[in-house]
Amino acid sequence: MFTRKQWLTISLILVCIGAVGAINILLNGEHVMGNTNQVPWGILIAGYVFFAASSTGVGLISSLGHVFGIKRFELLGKRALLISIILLLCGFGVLALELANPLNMIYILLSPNIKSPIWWMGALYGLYLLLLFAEFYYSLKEDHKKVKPIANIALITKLAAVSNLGVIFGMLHSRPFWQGPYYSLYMILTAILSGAAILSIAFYFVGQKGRQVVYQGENILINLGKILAGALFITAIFTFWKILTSLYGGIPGKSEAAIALLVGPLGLKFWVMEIILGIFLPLFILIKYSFQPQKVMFASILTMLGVLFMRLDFVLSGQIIPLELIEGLQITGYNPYVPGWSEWALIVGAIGATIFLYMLGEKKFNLDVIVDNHEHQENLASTKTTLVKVEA
Amino acid sequence: MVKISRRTFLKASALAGLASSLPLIMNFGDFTKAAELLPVTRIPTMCNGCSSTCSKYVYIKNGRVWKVEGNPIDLKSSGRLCARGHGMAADVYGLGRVTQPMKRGDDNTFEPISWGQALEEIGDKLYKIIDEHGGNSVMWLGHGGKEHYASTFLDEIGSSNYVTHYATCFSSKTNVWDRMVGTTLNSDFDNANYMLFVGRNFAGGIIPGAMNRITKAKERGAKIVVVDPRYCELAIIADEWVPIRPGTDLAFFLGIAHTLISEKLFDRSFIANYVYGFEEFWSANKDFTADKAAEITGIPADKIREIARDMAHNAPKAFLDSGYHGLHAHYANSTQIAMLNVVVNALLGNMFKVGGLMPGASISLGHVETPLRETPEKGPRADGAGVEEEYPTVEPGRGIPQIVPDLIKKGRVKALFIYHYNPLRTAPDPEYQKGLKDAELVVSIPVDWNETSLHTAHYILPESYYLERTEPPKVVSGFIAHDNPQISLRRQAIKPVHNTLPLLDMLKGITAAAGYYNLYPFTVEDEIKASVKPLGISPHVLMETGCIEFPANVKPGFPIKDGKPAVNTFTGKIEFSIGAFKLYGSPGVATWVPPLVMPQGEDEFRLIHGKQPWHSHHITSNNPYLMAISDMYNGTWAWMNKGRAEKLGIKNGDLVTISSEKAVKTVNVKVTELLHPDCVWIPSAYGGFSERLKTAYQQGINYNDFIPARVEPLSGTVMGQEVVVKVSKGGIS
Amino acid sequence: MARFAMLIDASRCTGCNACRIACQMQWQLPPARYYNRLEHNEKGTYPNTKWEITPIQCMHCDNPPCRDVCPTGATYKRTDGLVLIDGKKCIGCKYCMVACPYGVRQINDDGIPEKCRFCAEYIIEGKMPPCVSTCMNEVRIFGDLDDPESKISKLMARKAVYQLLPEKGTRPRIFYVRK
Repeated sequence: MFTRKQWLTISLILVCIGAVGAINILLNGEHVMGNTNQVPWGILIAGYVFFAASSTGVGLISSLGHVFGIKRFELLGKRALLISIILLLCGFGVLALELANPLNMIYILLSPNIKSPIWWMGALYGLYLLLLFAEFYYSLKEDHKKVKPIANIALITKLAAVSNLGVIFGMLHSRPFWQGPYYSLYMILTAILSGAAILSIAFYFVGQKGRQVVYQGENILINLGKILAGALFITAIFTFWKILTSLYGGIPGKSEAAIALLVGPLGLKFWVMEIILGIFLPLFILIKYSFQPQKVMFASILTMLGVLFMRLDFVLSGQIIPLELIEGLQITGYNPYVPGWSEWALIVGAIGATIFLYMLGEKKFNLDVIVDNHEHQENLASTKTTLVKVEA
Repeated sequence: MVKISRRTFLKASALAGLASSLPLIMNFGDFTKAAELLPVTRIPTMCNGCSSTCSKYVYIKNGRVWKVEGNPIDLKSSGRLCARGHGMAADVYGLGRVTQPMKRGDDNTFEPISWGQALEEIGDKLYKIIDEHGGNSVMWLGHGGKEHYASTFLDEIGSSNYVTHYATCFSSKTNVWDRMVGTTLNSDFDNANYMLFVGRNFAGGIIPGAMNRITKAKERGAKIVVVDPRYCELAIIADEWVPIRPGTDLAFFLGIAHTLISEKLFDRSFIANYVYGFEEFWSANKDFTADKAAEITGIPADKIREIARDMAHNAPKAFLDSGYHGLHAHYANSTQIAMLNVVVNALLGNMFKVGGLMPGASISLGHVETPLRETPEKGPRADGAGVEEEYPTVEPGRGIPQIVPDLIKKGRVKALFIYHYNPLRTAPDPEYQKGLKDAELVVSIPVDWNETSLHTAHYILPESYYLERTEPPKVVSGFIAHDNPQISLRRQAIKPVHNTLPLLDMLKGITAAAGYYNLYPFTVEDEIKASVKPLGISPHVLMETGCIEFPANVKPGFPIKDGKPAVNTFTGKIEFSIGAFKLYGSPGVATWVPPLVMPQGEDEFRLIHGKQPWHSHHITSNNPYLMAISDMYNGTWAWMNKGRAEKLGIKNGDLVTISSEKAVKTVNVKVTELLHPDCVWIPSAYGGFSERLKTAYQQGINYNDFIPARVEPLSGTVMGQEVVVKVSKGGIS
Repeated sequence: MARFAMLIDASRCTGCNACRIACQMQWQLPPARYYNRLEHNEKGTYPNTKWEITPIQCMHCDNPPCRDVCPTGATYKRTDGLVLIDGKKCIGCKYCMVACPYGVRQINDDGIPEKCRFCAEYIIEGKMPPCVSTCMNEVRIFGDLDDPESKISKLMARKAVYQLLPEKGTRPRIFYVRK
C-alpha cells in the first residue's frame, strides 16, 4: 500500500477538491447545488447523515470497551475517540455548507424551538462533541476516573443523538416513506454498521504500523468483522421489510418511493451501490475469507461506499415522489434531482479531511492503548492496564 | 440592522475588494422594507399585453415600473388583469427590445445609427421611390391600430395600400357581419340564459371583463355550452363540452339552423320583419338536416337538436357567440361559417335584444382640425382586396397581408413600412415571408427584435414601449355588450428606458425628410384636447382617471328609421343573402362547403392551434415571466388524443416529428383525453427563430411553419387550419 | 382580533396564471419563483372527460408543521392566523420545506424558504392580495372569519367546503368550495 507521505498527499488532494467545491457553494449558493424546491434536501444532507452516524457508530463500538468493559475492545480506546471527533467535525462542516445562513445558528440558543427535531439534533450532537472532547482530553491525560463517567453519559447522548437523527425524518407526516419510528432504529443499526467498518479500516492500517491490534491472539479486526457481518445481515433484513411493508397495499407516497428505489430513478444506486456493493459483497467476502483482517478491511471499504449511497437513497426516497394534494390526481414522473459537482467534491473533500486529520492526530497524540493479554478480569481497571509510551 | 446572509456577505466581501464603494447587497426582506418607504405613484394607462387594450394602473416605485392593476371602470378589464397584462408590463425592461435605430449593413448585420440619420435616409429613399414608382408603391403593413397616422401619410402620397394582419386572424367575421348586419354585435353576457361558444375560447384569448361576466352568468344559472375540438379552458366552466370534428363547424351550424326552421322553433316575426333572403337560404339548405350534420361533425344528431331546442327555448336570451380567431380565418368555409353565425342568431331573434346580441355603446370623439391638403388620386390596391379582377369581396380596409412577398416580386410594392407586426412568425410560411426583404425599402417599427425586423428590415425604428408613450383616447369597444360608452387613454408612465420614439415623432421626421412639410401639425396633447372637446370633459380628468364612462346611450330594439328597418345594409334588414357575393359569381347564401383537406391515414391529423391563457400569440413568448409558466406546465407541447397516440406508440412527453409539405418539426407531445382524435393542437405562441429574442428562441413550434400562404377568395383569409400533418414518434436527427 | 382565511372555488379556475404573476410582481420575485401554483387534473375518457385546475398556495395552517419543525422559531404564526417567516432567524436548514405537505415553500436568493404571506402588510390596510384582486373569474375570496359581515364568512356559511389533506392534521386556513 501507500506510504504515509503518499497517504498525506492523496488526502490533501481530496481536501483541495473539497475546498474548490466549498468555495463554489459559498459564492454561488443554491445555484450550484442540485437542491430544488421539490427536493430541498440533497446529497449534503445525506453526507451529513453519513458522517454524523458514522461518528456515533464508532463511538458506540468503542463503548463496548470503555463502558461495557469488554477488554478486547479497549484496544480501540483513544483512536476511536479521535476518529469519532473527526467524523463529527467533518459532518458539521458538510452541514454548515448545506445551511444557507449558518451564522444564524445563534438563534438555536436565543429562540429555541424544542418541538423541532433539528433543534434536538443540534443540542445532542453539540453535547456529544463536547463529551468527546472531554473524554479524549482525559484519555490523553490517562485520567480514567474522569473518563469513565464521561463515557457513560456519552453513551446515552450518542444513542439519543443518532436515534434523533432518524426522528428528524420520522416526524414528517408530509413524507409517508419516512414517517414513523423505523428510521430511529435503522439509524442506530447502520451507525454500528459504519462504525465497525471505519474502525476496521483504521485498525488495519494501525496494525500495519506495528501497533497493538491483537488481543489474546485474536486480531481486533476479526471481532470488528463479526460485528460488521452481523450489522450487514440485520441491515439486509431491515431493508427487506422496509421495502416490503412500503410496497404492500400500494399506499400513496410510500409504495411509489419503494418502487423508485427498486425500479425507478434510484434503482441503480439502490441495487448496485447499496445492496450488492454495500451489503452482499462485503458479507460474502467476510464469510468466504473467515474474517481475515485484510479481507475485513476490503469488505469495510465496500461497506462504506455502500453506506454513502444508502444515505443518499434514504434522503432522496422520501422526497422523490411529488406530493399528492388532490384526490385522484395522477402523479406522473418523479421529482428530478441531480447533485452538483461542488456537492460531490465536498463529500470527497470531507473524506479526505477525515484521513488527513486522523493522520495528523496519529502524529500529534499518543493514541496507543496497550491491553494486557494475560489478564482475564471482567472489569476494566486502570491500574491493570499497562500503558507504554511509544516513540513516534 | 442590515442583515446579511452568509452567501451575500461573501459575495459582498469579494466585491468590496474590487469596489469598496459598493453598498452591501441587502436581502429580499430588507429590500421590501426599504422599498416600502419609497413613494409610490399610480399612473392610469392602457395595457398592450394583447390588442384588447384594457385600462390599468401602473405603479411606479423608485422610478421603475413595480406592478399593474386593472382599472375597475373599464369594461374590458373590469378591474382585473390577465397574466399577459402583468408580464408584459415587466417587459419594458426586457432584453429583447431594440434599444436604438438600426440600419442593416452590407454584411447583413445591424449597425446602430442616430434618429436624425435614420429618418433622413428613410425620407430620402422614400422620396426617390415615390418619385420613380408613384405613391401607390408604398405599403403600410401593420397589426392594426393607429390607423389615422398611417392613413394621413398614405393619403398624402396617394397610396391605397394599408394592410392589417386581420386576414391571418378573423377577416371572414368582419367581412360577413358588415355585409349581412352592417355592424358587429356583442354578446350580452350579463343577461343571457344560454350561451353557445363555438371555436371561441374566452378563457384562452382572454378579455378579463368578458370572463368575469361569463362566470357571473354561470353563477346566476345561465347555461354554457362549448363546442370545440379541444377541451379548451372555457370548457372548464361550461356545463357541457361538445367535441366537434375540426373543420366541420359549418355543418354544425347548418344542422342547428335546420332544426330551428324545420321544427318551427325560430322567431318568425323577427325573420319576417327584419330579415332579407330567408327563403333563399332555406331552399338552399332544406336537406341539410341535423342527421346530415351529425354525420359530418361527429356530434350526435340528438345533441345538435337538443342544443337548437334549448337555445330556442331560452331565446331571445340565448346567443351563439359571434366568435373570433378560432373559426374566422382558418377554413375554406370560414366565410360561410360567419354567415351561418349570423343566420343562427337571427333565427333566434336575439339581435338588438337584452340577453342576446347587442351593439356596443359608442361615442364620437373630436379630431384635431388640420388645414386641408391637396392629395393625389390613389391607385388600385396592390393586394387586390376589393379590386374587381382580383379579390372583389375582400374588405379593402383590411387587406391581404400574407401575399405581400408576391406583390414585391410583381413590382407592385417598392417601399414597405411594417408597424408592430411580425409576419415572419404570425403569417403563413416564414421562408416565403422572408421575401419581404426584397422591397427597395423595408422599414420595421417594432419594440423588440422580432423575426421580421431581424430578417427583412433595412431599417429598424424602435418605438417606445407602451408604458413610455401617451396616445390619444379611444372608444372602448368589442365583444362585450354594454350600454354605457367608455373612452380610455394610454398615458406615459415612465421615461423611455432606451433611445426610442413614439410613432408620431418618427412619421413627422420621415415625412418631412421626404418633402411633405408639416404633415402632422399637432402634438399628442393637441389630439387629446381635441378628442375630448365634444364630450365636455377636460383632458386633465381623462389623464387622471385613464378611463371614463358616459351615460347609457344604447337601448334594445331593432334600428328603425322612418318606420323601416335600418341597419347599415342595402335593404336595411339583416341579409341572409349577400348581394356582392352573387355579383361576383358566388352563391349569395351560405351552403355546405367541405373543408379543403381531411386527414385520412393512421398517422394523419389536422393541425389546429389556439391561444394559451398566458400568451398572446407570439409577441409574449420572449417574456421570461410568461415563459416560466410555459416551462412549468409544459406549455410548448403539442396535444394529441390518447387513443390515437396509443396506436402510434406515442406516450406522454415523447418527442414526435410533425410534418407537412412545408415543414418538418420536432416537439414534445401531451397525450390527453381532452382533444378530438382527428387533430393535433399546438399553442400559437411559440416557434421563435429570432436569435435576438433569447427567451423565445427555438421554444416549441408554430402552426405557420406548416401552411403555405394561401388566400380564401371571399374574405382573403389564410385558411390556417386547412393542413394535414403526419406525426411519427421520435425527433428528427 | 382578525382571523384571516381564504375560500377558493377551484371549479371557476381556468388556469390563466394571472394570480401567479400578479404575486410575482407584488413581491418582485424572479420569473421561476412563485408563491402560488396550479394543479392540473384530467379525468375520464374522451369524450366524457373533465379538466380540473386547483390553485395551491401556503395554507396558513392553524397547526403548521413548518412552524413546529423550525429549530429557531423563524417560522411563526401571527395572532391573526398568518404563518410568516422571520428571515433573520432562519438558518436555512430547509426543514420547513420538507415538512410542508403542500410543497409551497420556495427558496430565495438568501437561502430563506419563502412562501405566500397572505400579503401581510396589505391586508391590514384593508387591501386585497393581488392573487385575489386580479382574478377575472373571482376564484379566491379573502377575508376575516371573525367578521360575520365579511364576504368570506357569509359564503362559508352557505357553501360546503373542504380542506386539502385534512388527514395531515394541519388545519389549513384555505378552504375549497366542494364541487
